[in-house]
Amino acid sequence: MNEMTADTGRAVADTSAPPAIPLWRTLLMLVKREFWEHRQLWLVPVSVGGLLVLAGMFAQFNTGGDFRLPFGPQKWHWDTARQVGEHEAMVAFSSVRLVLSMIPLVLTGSIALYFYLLNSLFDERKDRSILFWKSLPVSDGATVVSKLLVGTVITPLLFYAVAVVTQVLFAEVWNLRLSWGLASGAAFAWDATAWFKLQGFMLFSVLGAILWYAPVAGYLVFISAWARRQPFLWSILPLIALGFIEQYVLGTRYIATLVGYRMAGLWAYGNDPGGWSVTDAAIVGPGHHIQTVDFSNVFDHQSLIGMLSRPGVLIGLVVAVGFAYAAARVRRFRDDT
Amino acid sequence: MTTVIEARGLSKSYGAQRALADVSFNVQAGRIVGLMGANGAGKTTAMKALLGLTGFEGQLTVLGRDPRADRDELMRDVCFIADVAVIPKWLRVRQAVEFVAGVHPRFDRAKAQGFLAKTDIRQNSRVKELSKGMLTQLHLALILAIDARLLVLDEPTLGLDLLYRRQFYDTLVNDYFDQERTILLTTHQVEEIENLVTDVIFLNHGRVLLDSSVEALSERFVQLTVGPEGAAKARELKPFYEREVFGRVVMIFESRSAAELRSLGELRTPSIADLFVAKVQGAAA
Repeated sequence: MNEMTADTGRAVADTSAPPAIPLWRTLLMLVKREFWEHRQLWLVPVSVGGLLVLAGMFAQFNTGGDFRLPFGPQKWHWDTARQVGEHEAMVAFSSVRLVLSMIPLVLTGSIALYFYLLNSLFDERKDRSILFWKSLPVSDGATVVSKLLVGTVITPLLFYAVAVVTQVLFAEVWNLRLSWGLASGAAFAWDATAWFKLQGFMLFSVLGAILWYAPVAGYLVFISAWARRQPFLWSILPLIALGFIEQYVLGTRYIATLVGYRMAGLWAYGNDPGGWSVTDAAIVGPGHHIQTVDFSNVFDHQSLIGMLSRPGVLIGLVVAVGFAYAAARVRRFRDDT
Repeated sequence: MTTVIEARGLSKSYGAQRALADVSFNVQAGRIVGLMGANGAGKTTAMKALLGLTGFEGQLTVLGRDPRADRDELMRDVCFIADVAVIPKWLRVRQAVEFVAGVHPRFDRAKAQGFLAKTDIRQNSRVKELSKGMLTQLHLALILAIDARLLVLDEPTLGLDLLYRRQFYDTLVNDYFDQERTILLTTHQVEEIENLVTDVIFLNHGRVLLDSSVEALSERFVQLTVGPEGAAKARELKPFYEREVFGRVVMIFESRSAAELRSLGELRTPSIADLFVAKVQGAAA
């Protein structure tokens, strides 16, 4: 009898206070939820990667003449690598060619993530589903963090993983065509050390982009929580308008410079004192003839700690946290459903 | 008896428009309270205040917590789903169950699945593919599987046809409600919940017109139906509402004993719907 009473007592206590769900499990569920809703987050990289491999079946590489990189001022002559034919030069050439072929992934990824973040807290208000999400014991902070995690860390790493697979398939397809005599040009030179250095460099760039663009992501999430309509216009027009007003009224260009610095900053690390850019990896001979590309100096010149200590990164992270906090506050107290 | 909701002097304005003006009421545990009002009476604002979805002035305690400060903790003990239209269209049934199970410590997944198994709803269907009726069933499956102390429903049957509205309320009372639980629901279709609620709160232009248990209504209000010849005499007893039906006059009196009125005509307790109309029109007069 006593035992039964004790049991019943415990059962009542259990139902009245079930253990709270740990934050990490809630976050995991929220992240999963994002990928249920936004299938483009994995469909875009997978289909662009697939198209790149397909392109490898038909592409012709113009391995002669000038090649202008989207960053850095120089015209680079790829002839050297082909003519010299040295293994090291060929490896360098192959590496750069692989990095360049990943540009479509970077561009589509950036666009997909821009719109993902911009609509992340807007769509739920537009279709009133915010009332459903808010009926569950999930804090606004956890919701905002889950969207930022997906938009700035998880999806970029997913794009990176797709890029790795794409590179292998792309090089393999090209080399097969060469060996079957279906294409002419230089084969992708395989060198395990260089390959891993290249992967290290790319991963490093992704991590750098995550940190560098964090305030942009925070800004987009804030606009998404705040704008009553047209979040896309709100994300760009005020900046343009303020930039013009500043220029005409004050004659200065601080806003334009700041926006330009942040948007282009990752690719112009070299402009920052102590910074590093991808062009720094090239060891260039006379007349801008590329001799080799040494990605190992990425880690010599710019360790992760070194990158973290750049004022632009640190300030950006503080701004990102501020925007995320503001977005959570707006989502918590805004009432427009 | 435990007090689940205690509201004192709630006020809220949207710009110049006053949505709630000094509203006070209590809700006790184990009751089904109908918060009734015409469109724009302040029902939804009151609900949003209870759920910490909107700011307000005044004192408000829900299950011993302040919804403004402790919203996230509060939502573990409160189950709130507005009308069925807020369930996101892209969500699959399977995902809806998985998500709620993943974030709600009081959600019983097996119970929800058991309920869904009795319906024609397919696990892989998206919400937008479900008929209105199926959506109601999904909505119910999620609500019923949450062991909440307070269930808040805001116009839960909006846009549903009679069959599904009836099914919704029947399931709610038969499968969910017990003495430990409290249900607060808003609707402007008063006749719908006539036989469901234990308490009523009438809101009009942000003010409480009536706050009473249903049992107490029969002592407090009486409806008299008289022929035109007896109307003048009845009017002397000051009904607060009257209307003509097929040549006869229906009057509603507050705080008049049946003995005073019995000789004048037929007496009955007014329906909640009639009382609602009487109170709202009486307030406008």
